[in-house]
Amino acid sequence: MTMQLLSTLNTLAMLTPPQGAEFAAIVPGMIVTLVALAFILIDVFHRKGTPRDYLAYFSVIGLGVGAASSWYLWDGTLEAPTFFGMLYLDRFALFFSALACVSGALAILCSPAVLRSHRMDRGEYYLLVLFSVVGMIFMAASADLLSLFIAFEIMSIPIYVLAGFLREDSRSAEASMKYFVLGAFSAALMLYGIALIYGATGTTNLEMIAQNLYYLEGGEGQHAGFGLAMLGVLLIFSGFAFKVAAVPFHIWTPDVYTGSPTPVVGFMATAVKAIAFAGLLRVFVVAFPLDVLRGGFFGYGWIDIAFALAAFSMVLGNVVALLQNNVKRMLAYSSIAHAGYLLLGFTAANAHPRFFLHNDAILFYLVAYTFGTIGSFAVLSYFSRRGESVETFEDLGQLGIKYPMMGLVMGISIFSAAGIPPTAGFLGKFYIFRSAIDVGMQTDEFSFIGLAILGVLSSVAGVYYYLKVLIYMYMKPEKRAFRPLEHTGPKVAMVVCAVMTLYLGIFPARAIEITQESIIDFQGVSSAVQATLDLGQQALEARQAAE
Amino acid sequence: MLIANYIPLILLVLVAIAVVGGIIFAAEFFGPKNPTREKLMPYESGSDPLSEPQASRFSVKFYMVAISFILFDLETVFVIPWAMSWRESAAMGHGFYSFAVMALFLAILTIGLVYEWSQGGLEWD
Repeated sequence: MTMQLLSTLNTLAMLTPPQGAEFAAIVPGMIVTLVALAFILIDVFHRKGTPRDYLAYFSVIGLGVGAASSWYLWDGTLEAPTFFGMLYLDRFALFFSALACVSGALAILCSPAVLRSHRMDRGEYYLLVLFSVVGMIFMAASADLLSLFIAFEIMSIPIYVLAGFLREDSRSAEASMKYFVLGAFSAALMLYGIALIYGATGTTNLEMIAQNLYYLEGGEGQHAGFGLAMLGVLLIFSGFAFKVAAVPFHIWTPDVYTGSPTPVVGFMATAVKAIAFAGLLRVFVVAFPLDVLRGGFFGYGWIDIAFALAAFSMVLGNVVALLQNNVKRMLAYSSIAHAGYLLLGFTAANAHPRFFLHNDAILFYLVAYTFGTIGSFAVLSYFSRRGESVETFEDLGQLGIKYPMMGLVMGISIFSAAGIPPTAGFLGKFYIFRSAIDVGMQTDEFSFIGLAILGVLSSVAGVYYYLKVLIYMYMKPEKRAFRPLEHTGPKVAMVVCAVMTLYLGIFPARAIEITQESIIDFQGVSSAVQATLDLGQQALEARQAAE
Repeated sequence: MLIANYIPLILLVLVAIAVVGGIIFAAEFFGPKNPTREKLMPYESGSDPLSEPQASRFSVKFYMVAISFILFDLETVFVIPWAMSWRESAAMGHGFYSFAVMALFLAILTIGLVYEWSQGGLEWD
């Protein structure tokens, strides 16, 4: 009887259009989708043998419009999820959709010359980046495990293809295959987790999962379904941990980063990681806020998983990166280490509802990391030799002296990744470690402070391999001559990355305000977190009034 | 948890076993037998499933056809329930909305078809 009623209601819901205002929630995603569809139609009429630069610029402009639309929607966010509980329209989602668009645009700018040097100048490349960005935008906004998973796949599948885009290069094919097999496996684990959560709670909506888990846990002791839910939480976490490349799930990272086309690596190292963190925050903060599931300081909840992953990622990423002689491989391990720092921030900020505002450190770090990382990959993809990109440290010999601009950009990016002032990376690390220490001081738990100390020590070790890049660029002799791929696109991307890295490092006030606004406007949270957010809102308004 | 609640399920399992067993049994005892090589092969869309991969290379165009087929098959799967429920939605006054959503879906698929056509996916040689 109830089932019949539910299915009738469901049918009615499907037949009823959403409210007019709700359509704002899909505007950024819709813009990028329309750009992609228009792209197909333009590419169909592309004249063979002519360069596709204009298509690249077209997609960059489209992604720019997508990012700008988040800006226009910034003051028009909604509290309730839209589209029958499928998508949120909040500043958190808008922040990440803008970040995905910017990252995609910068990666596309670096691409045309690289593709041409590999004789793979095809329109599909840009199309796949655009579709992946669409998935990212919807993933950051999703309010339901189903919309989340669909967006997750829309994001991932184009990237599997992009990793193998240089199909004549066997390493690229290998990268694609490895990424696809492992990625599909981790997506399957995540889907299994979603199924278990659905089995335990009877719903896929994040807020309703939180509610039903609360009822399952309370009352007559622990319900049998609660054990299922715990396993589901673990599996969903592992799915995200794969995408952010945190340590037990990092095996694919070095091989995939080495084999894939360099601009694609820049894209997947930044945007995918950022969006996976967005999904992680959304799912775990909204759906699993129960103390039993959350754990903390070895109560064996998801905070403890994140804690362990953070510690392992920071140490292993930094230590193994020391041993690499391939720059892309080194950056892969460095991206694992960055995932560790981000997880440290995640652990600290979500250990207790009252620290929720510290999540702005993660957001700031992601922005800093995006510009720094794409900057260094843009420089790497700028140089090539007979279709080969710069890869080993020795290949970098003297490049900094022969091409001072590129050397400067690489220097800024590398300083940012290592966390040396006055770059954005320094402030990002500073905020992450500060939030961990702050939480540690307030809870009197040594665990967070200990983890922060571990983070600082491992990032000091990281300085060695980052500076090795600059030593080779300026002080070592040239082994093989690499020529730059003359093209405006990568230059624009490099200048944007370098300027933004310095700007965020020197004048971070506006960016920090944006990250704080995004976190304060995070929708769907439990009442305990909402109280923290209200306090944060008041503090922010007071500060803005004082200025 | 009452066993009585599961009686329909148990019955279903028993009937399923009985039907399958009965069919196999009947085929085994009453069916005429004149085996040929093709009949003894496992059903694998007409290709030999147990051969070296190099010996049974076939054109990538089969995949193109298969993918197009899945695409348009799914299209019908979407369109038919939509057509069935359109009257209800029109009765509720959302007929145009319902129509616009489906038109959007078909437009996106059509763009895919245009792309496939331009890439030569519809030509056999």
